[in-house]
Amino acid sequence: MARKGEGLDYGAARARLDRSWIPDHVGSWIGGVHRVGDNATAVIAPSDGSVLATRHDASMRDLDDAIGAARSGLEAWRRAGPFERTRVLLRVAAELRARGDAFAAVEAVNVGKPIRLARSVEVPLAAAHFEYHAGWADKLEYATRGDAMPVGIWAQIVPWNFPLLLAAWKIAPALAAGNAVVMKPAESTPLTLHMLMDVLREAGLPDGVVNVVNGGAGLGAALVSHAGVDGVSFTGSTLVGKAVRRATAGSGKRLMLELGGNGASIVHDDAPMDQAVEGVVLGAFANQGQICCAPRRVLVQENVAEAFAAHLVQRMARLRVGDPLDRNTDVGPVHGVAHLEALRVTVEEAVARGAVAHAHPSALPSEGSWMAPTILTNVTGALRVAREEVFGPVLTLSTFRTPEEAVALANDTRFGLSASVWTTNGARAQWTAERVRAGVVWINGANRMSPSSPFGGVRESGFGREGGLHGLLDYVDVDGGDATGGSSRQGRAGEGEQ
Amino acid sequence: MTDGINASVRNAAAGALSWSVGSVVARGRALFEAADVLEGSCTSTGIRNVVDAVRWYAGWADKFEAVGGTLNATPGPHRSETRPVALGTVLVFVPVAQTPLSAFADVVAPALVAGNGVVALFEEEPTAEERDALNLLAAGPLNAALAVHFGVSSRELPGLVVAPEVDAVAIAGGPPSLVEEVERASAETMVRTIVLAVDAGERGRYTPNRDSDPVLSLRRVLRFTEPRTIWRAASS
Repeated sequence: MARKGEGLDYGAARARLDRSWIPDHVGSWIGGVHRVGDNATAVIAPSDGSVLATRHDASMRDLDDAIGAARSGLEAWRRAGPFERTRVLLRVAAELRARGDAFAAVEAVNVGKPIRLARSVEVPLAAAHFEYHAGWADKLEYATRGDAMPVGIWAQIVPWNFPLLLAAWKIAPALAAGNAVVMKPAESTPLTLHMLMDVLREAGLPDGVVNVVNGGAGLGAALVSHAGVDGVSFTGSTLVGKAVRRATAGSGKRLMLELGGNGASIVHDDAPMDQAVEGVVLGAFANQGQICCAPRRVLVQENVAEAFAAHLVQRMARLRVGDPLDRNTDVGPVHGVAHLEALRVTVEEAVARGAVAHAHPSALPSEGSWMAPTILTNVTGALRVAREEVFGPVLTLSTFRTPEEAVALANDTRFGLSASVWTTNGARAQWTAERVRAGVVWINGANRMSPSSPFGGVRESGFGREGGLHGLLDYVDVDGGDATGGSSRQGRAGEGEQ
Repeated sequence: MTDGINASVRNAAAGALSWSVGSVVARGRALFEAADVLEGSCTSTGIRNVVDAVRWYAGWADKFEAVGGTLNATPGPHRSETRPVALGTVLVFVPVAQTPLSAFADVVAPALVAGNGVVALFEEEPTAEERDALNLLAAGPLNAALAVHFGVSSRELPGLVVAPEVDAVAIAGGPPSLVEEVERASAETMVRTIVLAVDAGERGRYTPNRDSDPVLSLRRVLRFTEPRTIWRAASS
């Protein structure tokens, strides 16, 4: 007999995407001028492989010009003064909100991100970062307890998972502190940064304060190594982060690295179970699991493990996988075919070595790069899926007996970006949060963000913070020799130097 | 030599946890006590400077979290706070050409106050009196958190930083070539490098001073921490 509600389903609720919102050609922005070169590549929609736009990569000459433009921009931005800087940042926030539908839709098709996530999280949070930092731009003396000078010209490199949000949370504090920027977006997702450049110009940002260069690893390496750069802020993989650090060793450049994570979610037997299931599933599979701070390893107390696992798999199976532009979609396609293949291999390897895969039941489209959300149980710590960052819709589940064992398992990784702990025991929550080695810990929650909350990692998840007072100070040169670290800021940037 | 240092690193790593998650009040007291012990046994000016610096920094122990942390605004039913927490196990290298005791006081004291386990490595062999004083310090109330080694060549340093228990390395001055080498080696395991102000000379002489400046000494303590943000749901 059919159960009540079975067979009912949502109809599609497709968000509007006006083709005119998508720029045809995406080139470099140098000193306020859009520069389109010969080196052109297609920008692809991961949901069906269709071509969205044409990207034009910067030459080494373009890169030099961008640094030169930033030098002029730095001076113009200094002349603007703190109050004008505040006004510009507030106008950016307002304009981002006003164009929210366009930004969200373009981000959704370019990244494969569900429109609901783009429209209700990414765009508002990007705007909130500009708003928050607008409030700092005219109060820097308080933040620094002394004179505050900008660091200078920043090389900023952002990845493909949150192109707009990560651009905002690097650009906003840099501008609030009076710096200039040369940003390189990911090769596959340059569209919303291109749109943001329009917003920045219309908000009255002087030419050259923010510049954009497109390109791949070679251009990125040239950018961070450029002698005209004073600070480097990189978000991406730990592998590339290490290369960035080697490339800047001994250079005296300010360095911020926001790298990979392999976050643990510790579920105690007294956890609020429904909330924990909901929080873990939404945290692990939002943006197809392509979030550096997502829960990847659920550690659940042994006496409730069976029931919790059953609920978790059941809830995961109810996620809606499909068209990123459908407002009901929870999970879209992963980033590209090569990325999909790497994820598949990792899961197959785990299964071959004893893990049990619980995959989402729905049929996947044949075009594009789609992967079913997957929960792996019976996972041992030695498996690659437990040790490495698996940047996709894959969650592992294993068990612990005591709080001490939970902390030891959570810390058994070289990463240290995020962790979450689920329990109704306040003392245990605090005890755990003090012992888990992570830059961000959520108690009875996951993936919470706000512009005023410093975000960033410890250990091989990198260093430096984004957001909050600590993040702001990374972009400020504080007076007093030692305070700014003399010849090196490696590993410490300015956080906490208040 | 390297084996002995690695053993110290493992001990410091084991001691660092209780030192860092223990009460900051107890940490401050241990440092005051260590200063008292040292003062009672030595009379030279160099040692007096160490005593003064340890006391100065000990006074930060129960305050730096309050002034180096933040309460963060959130849009929803959540509370978010950020606290400076210790880096973990820190190697402190004092190269030849530095004044060993000044460098020790300016670097090791803030690292300890911040809650780190510290393995101090002096390139230079100190005088007998200095050696006795530092050994006394490491054997007293700070013994779980501090180890001291003398006559450690800078050439050993890049090899030492990659030990799995090492979280950070601080260099009290030193030539630019050493800084570059250590920073490059540190990339492999993302060991934090903290390089204190050096002059422009090729030996990179570290300039000790400013410890009596509250703001600058607070910054020095905070350089041996990193922020941890903790979110709590606030719902019924």
